[in-house]
Order: sequence, then structure tokens, then C-alpha cells
Amino acid sequence: MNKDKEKKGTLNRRDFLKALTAIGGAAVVSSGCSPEPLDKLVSYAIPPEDVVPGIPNYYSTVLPYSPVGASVVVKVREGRAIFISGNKLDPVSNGGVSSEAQASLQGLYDPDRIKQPLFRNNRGDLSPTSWGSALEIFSNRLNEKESKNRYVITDNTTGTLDELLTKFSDKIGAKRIKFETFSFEHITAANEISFGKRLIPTYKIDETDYLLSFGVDFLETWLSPSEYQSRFEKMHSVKDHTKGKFVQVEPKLTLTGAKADDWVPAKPRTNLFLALGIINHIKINRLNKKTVPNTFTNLSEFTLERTSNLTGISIESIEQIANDFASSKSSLAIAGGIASTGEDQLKTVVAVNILNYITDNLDKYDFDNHYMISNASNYSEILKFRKDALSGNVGLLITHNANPVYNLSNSLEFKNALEKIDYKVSFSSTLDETSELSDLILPDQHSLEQWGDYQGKKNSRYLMQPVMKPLYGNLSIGDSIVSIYNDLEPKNQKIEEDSYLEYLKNSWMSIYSPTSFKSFWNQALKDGGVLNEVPNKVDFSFNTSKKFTIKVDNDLGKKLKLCITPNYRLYDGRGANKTWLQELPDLLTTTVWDSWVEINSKLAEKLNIIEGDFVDVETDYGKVTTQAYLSKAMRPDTISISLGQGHTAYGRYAKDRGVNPVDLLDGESVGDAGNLNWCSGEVSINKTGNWEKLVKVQHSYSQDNRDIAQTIALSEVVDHHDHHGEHHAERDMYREYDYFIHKWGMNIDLDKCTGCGACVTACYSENNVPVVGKEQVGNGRWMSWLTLERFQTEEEDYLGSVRVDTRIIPQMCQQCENAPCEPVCPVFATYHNPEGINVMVYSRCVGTRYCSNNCSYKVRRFNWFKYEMPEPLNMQLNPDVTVRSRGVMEKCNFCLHRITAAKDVAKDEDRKLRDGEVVTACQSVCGSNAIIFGDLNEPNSEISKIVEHKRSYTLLAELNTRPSVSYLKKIEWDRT
Amino acid sequence: MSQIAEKDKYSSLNKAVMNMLTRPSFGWWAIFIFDLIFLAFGIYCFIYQVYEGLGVAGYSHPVLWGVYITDFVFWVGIAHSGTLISAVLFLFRAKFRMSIYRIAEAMTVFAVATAGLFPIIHLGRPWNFYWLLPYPNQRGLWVNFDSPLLWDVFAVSTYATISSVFFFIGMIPDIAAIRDSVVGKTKKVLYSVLSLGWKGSNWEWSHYTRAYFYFACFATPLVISVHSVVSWDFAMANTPGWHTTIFPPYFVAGAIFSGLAMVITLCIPLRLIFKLEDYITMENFEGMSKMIILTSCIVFYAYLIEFFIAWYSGNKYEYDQFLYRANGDYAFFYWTMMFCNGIVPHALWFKKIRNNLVILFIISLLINVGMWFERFNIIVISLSKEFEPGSWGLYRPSWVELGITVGSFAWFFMFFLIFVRTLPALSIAEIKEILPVPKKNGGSDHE
Repeated sequence: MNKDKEKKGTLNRRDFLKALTAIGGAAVVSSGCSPEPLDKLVSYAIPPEDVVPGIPNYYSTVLPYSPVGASVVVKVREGRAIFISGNKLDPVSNGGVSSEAQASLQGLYDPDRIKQPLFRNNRGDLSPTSWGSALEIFSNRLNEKESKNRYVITDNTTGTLDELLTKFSDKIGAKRIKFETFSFEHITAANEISFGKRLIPTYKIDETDYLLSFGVDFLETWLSPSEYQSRFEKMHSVKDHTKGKFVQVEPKLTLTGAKADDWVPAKPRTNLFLALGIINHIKINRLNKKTVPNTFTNLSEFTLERTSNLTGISIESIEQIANDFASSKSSLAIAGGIASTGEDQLKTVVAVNILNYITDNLDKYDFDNHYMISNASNYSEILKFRKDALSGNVGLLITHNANPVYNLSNSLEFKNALEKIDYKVSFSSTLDETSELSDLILPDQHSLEQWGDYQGKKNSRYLMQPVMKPLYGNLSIGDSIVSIYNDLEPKNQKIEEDSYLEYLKNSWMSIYSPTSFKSFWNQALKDGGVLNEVPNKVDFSFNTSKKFTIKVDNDLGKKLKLCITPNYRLYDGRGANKTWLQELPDLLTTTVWDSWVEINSKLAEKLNIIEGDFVDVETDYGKVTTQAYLSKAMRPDTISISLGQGHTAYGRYAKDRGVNPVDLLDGESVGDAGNLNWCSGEVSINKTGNWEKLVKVQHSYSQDNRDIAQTIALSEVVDHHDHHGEHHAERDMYREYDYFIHKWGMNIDLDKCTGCGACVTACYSENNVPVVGKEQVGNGRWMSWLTLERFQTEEEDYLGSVRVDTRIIPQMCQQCENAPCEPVCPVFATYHNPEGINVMVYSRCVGTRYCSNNCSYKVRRFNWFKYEMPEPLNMQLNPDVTVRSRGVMEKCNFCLHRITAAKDVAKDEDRKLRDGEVVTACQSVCGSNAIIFGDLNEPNSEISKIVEHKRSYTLLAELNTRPSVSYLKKIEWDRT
Repeated sequence: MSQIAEKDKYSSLNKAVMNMLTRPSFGWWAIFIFDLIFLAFGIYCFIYQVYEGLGVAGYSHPVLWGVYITDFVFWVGIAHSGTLISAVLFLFRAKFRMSIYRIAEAMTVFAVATAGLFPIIHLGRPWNFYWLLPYPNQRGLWVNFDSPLLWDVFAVSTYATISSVFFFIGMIPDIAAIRDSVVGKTKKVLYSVLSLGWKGSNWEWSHYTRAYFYFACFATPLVISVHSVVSWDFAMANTPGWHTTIFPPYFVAGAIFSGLAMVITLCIPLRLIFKLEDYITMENFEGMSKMIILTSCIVFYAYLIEFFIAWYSGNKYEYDQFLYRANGDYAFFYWTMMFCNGIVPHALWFKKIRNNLVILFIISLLINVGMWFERFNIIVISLSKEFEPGSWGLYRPSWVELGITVGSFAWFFMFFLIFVRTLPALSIAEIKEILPVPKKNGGSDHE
């Protein structure tokens, strides 16, 4: 097993690791070149074999972020990771990669990362120490006799690390808690009741034609957004003259709701009643295919009238939803979104399970490929730990990737509890709210620097490999534990391996026992892991024994309710130290860098609140003061605050920014699954009298009848009388350009685009787009080359209720043929290149800004200042793209350097460029495959065909700018 | 009304002009230093802007032109009436121009010198401003002759050259007169050089008047061309609110309008301070007032016709833009402009008002303000609400921009203050043409 072991001879494990640390890292195999900036330019005497200057290397690895991790391919240039795209081989994400995963590069190069171990000295400060002594302190502390309890709190670790941590915890006699801010325990608990399986299945929404979601934001934070983005795309695209219909029930419009064909704003915490009402209606009208179980004893009370009263949805709407749901060939209801989690969330999920059961749709529950987040600890365990700690019964706490001090309500006095613990050790690589209280910090390597594995779903085990040499000489948590494990009491339990890498290999060996481990391992490294989705066997039975009687709270809906929503960009707050995520505009409000409270505009009018007013949001448990954002797309009896800001530590970008709404919650009150109630009880809002402009990217949400984001009726799309997109034989006073070889074009399908913003982050990452900070965004100096514009209108629904029509359209330079920007530049700093791209010559630009004034799409960005990144964030900069100086204009150039690189490859191989060979950065991360890029000169290319589609249109076509970017209209259901 | 008898005007003209060139009084120094303080602040603002980046100005996407370009167009406009008064009215033999044209010409030259700064100040990389000039270079780089900004470079520099030359040529006989009576060696030498050896012979005069006539002819088209070209900066762009054929005549009329107002603004205090009532007469102000009424009507008509066309064309973008001007975020600026440029000048139909210099002075100031806002409105309002609703945004000038604007006024007045103390502010030779020549027996120091 351990072939290398003997070779090391007398070197013991500890010394070996120290030595490795000294030379800069324990697990360097793949990349040969140092990522650190060099002072002198000295050419290699013997160049590293796999590093060709100018040619990137790509490594598959995994970012172990809950809930499911992200299988990614990392682009490495000269030893530095510079770009993250999705792994196309991964059946879970299908090549999509979220902004959060991309921004992990900024976690890697975070200027506030801890560079070496820290321990609390006699004065009570954290002072640096060496790894050798830190590990010694740690193991000595662990070997002390302990009369009190010990705890290991981590995130929901999976795979080999989980196994190791369990082994480690057992040895030191510690209790493990897998703390997840969003642990989805209501789903696991409900499935245990319904199916006897304490698991969260994969919901195969792609196989449905009617999807009913009870407050599930599956395109943002729920379980596996990348996966559901791709599944949703399959479900929602037109095939066989129809498309799937998606109905979203939620009190506040989310990005997921914005994609819904029908958005149903039910009162908060009434999802259960709505589900029961639908079941009851189906039962009464005998639309059910299976007998309705008697789980809910008073089901018959939920008549349409009563349900309508309780939920605030019209009788016709409920009736229609119930009928559609029951009559669709393959429908599916899902529930268990975080933002709607209240006391009865468990029952809601049970009711939805019943709904799926009676309509015979349980085949879309895939328990064989369940999510490993099912293993996360219940919230009640954290409460037990807290009680233990507050009573002074905890002697040692070890934390890793968990920040309970931030993520739990202040009302729990968690900080106080932690201070009562004798000794706290953290593996955190940044000083967050929890780790800054620690007595010893053993900073973990970044996941892009270490070996490991991650299991997001049962059958997908991803392999994590170091894509570059570690920035600092830190050890991974695996290596730390492996190196001290054998020194711990009891000494008879041993780990045979010398390093975590060997441990990992042996673990994989034992799981898969391949015939040739080497080729298996190499293949796994190449693919990013063992990526299997096993076919689903529907072998579970529906359990109907449990009984519930629903009591309806009479006060329901009378008081203002607060819904706390997870944040797509920052998740539970862990993204807050990344500037790309802070500056990525919130998907629907377009706010950046701060918190806000979303208030219905009519309610705000009543309370005399205008946008930007600071309001006190107060519950019995806490108060936060933040700015108001007025929204049409939410109920007047609900307000909502997004999670993620309000850090008191966690680095310069996260600290002292916005508010943490979790402090408004009663941490001790739990729902029926032992869960925290994110959608809480009463809340009051009061104007403070202060006002400041709310910093947003977009100010006008109305299209003003300009048809920027267009839609088309489904009937028109499937209509066989084929009339292609409007093509007029145009006469033009300008000469036609001759495009001798290529003419690049892009197409964006607005029906597929979910507005997730991954493309925006990709563009930042690829094109060295500077981050300017809150103040400058407020001044209108946002630099993004790619904007997700969103337009909202209120419309009367065909069922009589108000419907908010939200359209999102990504906009970048349209690369016009008759580009208005080109002739006005006095110095030819922007010109039309022979392949149809408007190119910017940064070094020639003097900064008259005339081009932007004359741009009809306003997609140009000007460098008002010199934007500098603190070291080592600048290591992420793409060496293929100029870093712009101040005083020059910049904009999208279709990733010109990628085109050039592809052409070089084709030339070397003496062939023509293949269609689809050039992939732009935004395209490479799109999980919905909404972006197509290619050569319009090539008649058979995908792009040439797609621009002929009847859904295809160009922006502001009447201006005759003739953009090379075209869009496919969003498809809407016909409304009669 | 006049303090000296009609017959003495001729003889005392030289003295009156020489009086302006005596050692400056305390009052002059006080004003001059006060002016320099503002100029210093303006220069500080510019240095600060170069050091920190253009971001210290208030620009906000999508409004990428603001106060600087407003200032540029404003000063180019001011520069207009000088050449109009000196050249065009010269060709039309309008007598009322004689006593004020020198002031107007000086104003022109200094206004161009001020205007010319702004295209450089507003650049993202002002140190590369010379890249806008078509000079041969090893890199083979050339300028884009399609760009209206380049036309601007030529139009403004041509105008600056011609107006300076014209200004200087007109002064030669007067400088010679000063040379003859000035005391002090340095001054003598200086004025001798500047007078280019002018002796006042018949031969010289005959050549001189002909040359002056030709220069006048040459300068006249520039009055039309400069501001037309400046207006093309906007009219050639596709921005709603800019893209209109009415701009060249509209801008030229506006420029003359604002220039005349500026001449009045300068002349009234000057007349008071240097007691020039005998030479700058009410007749001059009458003439200018009437021209103001005319140009105000043209400008007002342009304002109205823009609205009509916006409605009549059926162009949605244009229509929205003009509605927005009148009742959008910048409506205050719009209605200030309408009031100052469209309504106020019509008070001048009344002779009583024309002849009341206090009211006339106030009206001229209001017109200056109104014309500044006119340019601000055209530039900023149009840009803040263009085609693409998602990009709309507002602009608010920063203290740096306002500081540089104030500095530009200080810069202009600095030249003007120096001018009135060093060069003949009244055209001795031409005023004498219209004054009755004193009889021999009347006695005079004219010989």
C-alpha cells in the first residue's frame, strides 16, 4: 500500500511535514511554477515540463462548498489560477458554475488570509507561530486530561475528510456537529415520515411539464442551483410544440420566481394551507390517481374558499393550479425553500410529498442520487451545544469551515457561549467572527491548493487537487490531522499513511478497488472525480401512518412578517469577503455592497417610506437599521432582508458592511423539524428620518415601451407557418464591410437566461475588470462589461391578480456593424476590426468619452481612477488581457484574446477553426447554455442558423446600428 | 448728458484712452488679486484632477460629458460676438460698433483662450492632448477626420488664430498713438515694437484699411463656421436631443446672443469706472440691445421648434427626451434657461429699459446664466436619458468642476484686467472717424 514509506527512512512524520512546510507546501505535484511575483526576470535553466509560458494549464478539481460543491476546471497560467469554469463532464452541474464558485479565486488570493498559524499569547492577542510549534501546542492540548465535553464543529464535510474527522473526533472524545446555516432538515425529516428515508432526493424537475414550487429558490441557493438551472432549462424549453410550465408560490419575488410562468404571491407561511387546499380540491374532484392518505386529519377543512382566505390567493388561481397540476402528464411539486421556512415547514414538505404521491409523480424523486447535505446536523444539536457551552461544560472546541457566531442569532449569545469554552481551535484560513475568538488557529489551505475529495451527491465523488503551489506555507486540515493523529492518546489507534494525499488515495482505493489504481486515479484527476449518476430505481413506499391535525393561527396574516432570504451571491455570508460577489449587483434589486430591506411599494407609501430611507426593523429579539428598497413584487404584509452582510470580522471587504438579519430571529424557537424559522413572526418597521441614496446599478426598471427585452407568445413560436425574423432588404448609405474570413457574432437566449450573474463574474475574472467599491458604484462608475438589466412591469393577470412581469437581459457591447462609437473617436482608439469586432486600443485612447456618449446601448465603461488591487489579489489577473490605466475607455471585445488563442491552435494544426471552438468567458460558465458564440460568415455554424430563428432580434434595430449580438425572445404562455 | 462738449470729444479721446493706461490704482490691484485667488483655486482643482483621475469630477454613467463641455461651448459662444461686432458689423458699416468693438474683440480672444482649455481639461488623459493633432510620427498614427471632435480642433484653432490677428491688426494705429505719448523707457520700447513702426502715413493708411477689410471678409465666415462646427459635436451624434439639423443656426444665434450679453456685461462697468460715457454711448447699448432681441427670438424659436419636431417626427426617443427636459429631473435648469433666454430679453423692446443701464446689466447677466444652462441642458439632459432605459442615470457636478469653471472666469477676467491697463480698450482711430473733427479755431492738441 505504502510504497514510498520505506524510502523516507529515519525521517519521522512530524519532521517530514515540517520540512515540507519549510519548502513551501505539502502537496505540490501538478504545477511547477511559483505563483509569487518575481523581482527579477531570470529565465529558467531547466524549465518545468508542463509549464509553457503563455499556454494555460487546466486542472479539474472541486470547490467543497455546501450544499453540493462545485466541480470546476481551473485555468492556470504560469503557476497562477486565474479563471474557473464549469466541468462539462459533471452530470450534476452540466458545466455551469456559479458566481460564488468563480469568486473562490478571490478567496485564494484574499489579502486577509492568515499566512501562518496563530496562537493566543499571554497578553490575549493572537500572535504568529510556526507550524511545528502550533501542531505541538495542539497535540499537547488534545492529550491533556479533559473532564469537560469536547466538540468538533465543521460544515457538512463529506468524503474522505469527513471520515478522517470522524476518526479524529472519536479519538479525542469529541462530539461532532456538522453545522450548516441551511441544513434543509425539514426535507430530511419530512422524507423520513413519508418514505422512511432521512434523505434529500434529487428532484428530477427536467422530467416534468408542470412544476409547482412552494417558495423554493432552486435557481439561487436551494440544494444545487447549478444542477437545477440546467434541469430547469431542459424542462422549460420548447419541445414538441409545447414547453413546461412553472408556477412559483412565494410572498417575495425571487430570481427563481422571476423565471416562473405564473408567480403566485401567497401570504408568508401559508404554503401548507395552499398545498392542503390543492390536495383537497384534487380529492373532491377525484383527480387523484392514488388514494389520498389520511395524514392530515382535517384536510377537508381546507376548502377552496378557506384556502383562498388563508393564503390570499384567489379561488380561481388555486383551482387552476390544482387542475393543471392534476391533469398534467408529468407534474411535480417541490417545497422546502429556506426563505419560507417556518414552524410548519416539515408538514408542508409532507403535504407536498402527498401531493406528488396522489398524482403519481413520485418517480421524479431520486433517492439513489440523494444529496449529502442530508447528513448535516439538526439545528437542535447546535442549541444543545450552546447550552452546554453556556453552562461552562465545554473544554475544547475545534471549528472548521463553520462560523456559528455570525450565522446564529445574537439572541443566542453564541459569542458569550464561546468565550466560556476553555480552549478553542480553528482551522479557518481567515479571521472570521468565530475564528477570531479562537486560542489557536491552524489555517487550512485553500481548496485550490490542497488534495481532497468531496461528495455532493451520493454517487458523485469529486477529486480535489492542488492547481497551484500554496501561496503560504500552510498545511491542509487533512495534513494537520494526519500529522498529529498518531501522537494522540490512545496511541494504539494509528493512521498508516504519512500524508493526507496517501490517506486519500487509500481511501479511494478501498472504495473503488480499481484494477489499475494509477490509471484510475489519473482518469479521476482528469475528469474531476468519479462522476456517476446511477439510474434511479423507484423502490420506496409511501408511508401514511403519521397523522397531523392542522391548527390555523387566527392572527395569521394580520401582522407584518419578516422573511429572511439566503443570498445567491453571498449564500449565508461566506461570500462577503470577495469583491466580485460584493460588486455583483443583487439579481433583482441591483444593489451592491450593502444590505437593504425590501418593502412593498404600497406599504411604503402608507408608512411614508421612500427608497433609501433608513428604517429600523425590529422584532422582540433584535433590531437592525438598514435602507429601504421598494418593490412591487412582494406582498404588502411581508418585508424581507437578504442574508450575507453585517460581518463584524472576516476581512476588509466583509467587515462593517450592512446588517445581519439573523439577529432579528428568535434562535431558540424552532419549527416542527427542529429547524430555525427563517420566516419569522412579527416585525415592525419605523422610519429613522435618515436618508441616503441607495446604491444600485440600475435606476429605471421600466422599459418605457422600448422593447429592449422582448417576448413572444408560445403559440407563435410553435406556429408552423414559418415566417423568419423580420428581414427587410435594407438600403444603406454606408458601405458594407468586407469580412474576408470571420465575422463573429453572439446570441443570447432570453428564454434560457435565468439572470444568475455567473457570466458577469466570469467577465470580471477573465478581462481584469476592476472592482470599484460602493461609493463609486453609487457615483455610476460600475465597470462591468456585462450588465444584467432587468425590467419590471405590473400587469393584470389573466386571473385578475397583479402579476409582475420581470425580464432580464444581459447586455454587453453589441459589436455593431455601423457602430456609432467608431466614427466619433478623434484618434482611432476604437475601430472596426476585419472580423466585425469593435476593438479598443487602450494605449491610443485619450479619453474624450465621445464613444460612450454616442453608444446607443451605453455599454462602454470609463476608467475614472486607477483601480488597484491589493496584493495578492492581483495574482488573479489574466496575463492575456491588458490592465487598463486610468483615463481610458473599455468594453466587451468578445474575448478577443480567446479568439486569437483558438486561431493560433488551428493554425498550428493547419486547419480551419471549428464551429464552437472559440468560447467566450461568459459563455463558458453559463449553466443554462443561453449564450452561443460563433462565426456568422460560416453558413453552417450554429450562430448563423440561430440568427435566422423567428425568435431572434437585435436591440434597437431601428437605429440601424446592426449589432452582431442578437437575442432570442423570451417565450411566454399565451394569455387569453 | 455728456460731461464735455461735443467739440472736445475728439481732442480728449486720446487722453481718455491714455488715462486707462496709467499706473493701476489700488482698486485695480485689489480686483486683480481677488481674481488671481480664484484662478489659483481653479488651477489647484485641475492639478488635483490630473493627480487623482477624472473621477473627482461628477461624471456618472451614462452622462460622460458635463460641466467642462458646457464651459467649452459657453466660452466659444462668448467668443463669437467679438468677431461679429468687429468684422461683420464693420462690413455692414454699422456705426454703433466703433466704440465697443475693441472690447468685444479682446473678449473674443480671451474667451477663445479660455474655451480652448476645456477640451484638454475634460480629457481622461490630458497629457496626451496633442494626439488630436495630425502631426507626422514614426508610429504612423493618424487622426480620424470623421470625428467632429477633430473638426473642433481645427475650427477653434483657426478661429483663435484669425481673431488674434484681426485683434492685433486693428490695434496697430492706436498702439502707435500710445507709443507717441507714453512716458518711460520700457513702455516706449514695448509699444514701439507692438506698433510695428506705424507712422500714420497716407500710404500706410491706404494699405491698412484695405488689409483690415480683407481680414474682416476672411473672419466673417468664421463667425458662422466655428459655432456650426461646435454644434456638430452634438448634431453628428445619434443621441436624442443632439441629433438634429437645427443645431448649427441655433448654436450660432445662441452664441451671438450670449456674446452680446457678455459685451454689455463688460462694457457697463468699464464705462462707469473709466468714465467713458462720451465714447461708449447709449447708442451703442441700443444697437446691442436690438441685436439681443433679434437673436433671442431666433433662440426662442429654436427652443419651440425642437419641441414641435420632437412631437411631429413621431420619434419616440426624441419625444421622450423633450418631455423629460421640461418635466424631468433637470426641469429647473430647463425652465431657468427658458426664462432667461426666452422671456427676459423681451423686456428690451421697451426703450426705457434699454436705456436703464442697471436693468440692462442685470438682463445681460441673466442671459449669460441662461446661455450657460442652455448648453448644460443640451449636454447633460440628453445624455442622462437616451435609448436604453436600463442605463439611465443622473449627473451632478462636483466641487472640482465648479472650481475649474470659476477658475475659467478668473482666467478670462485676468486677461481682460491686464488688457484694459495695457492696450487701448477703445479704438482711437475708428472712433475719431465718427466724431466731428474740431475746427481749427477751436484749438486742439491733435496735431
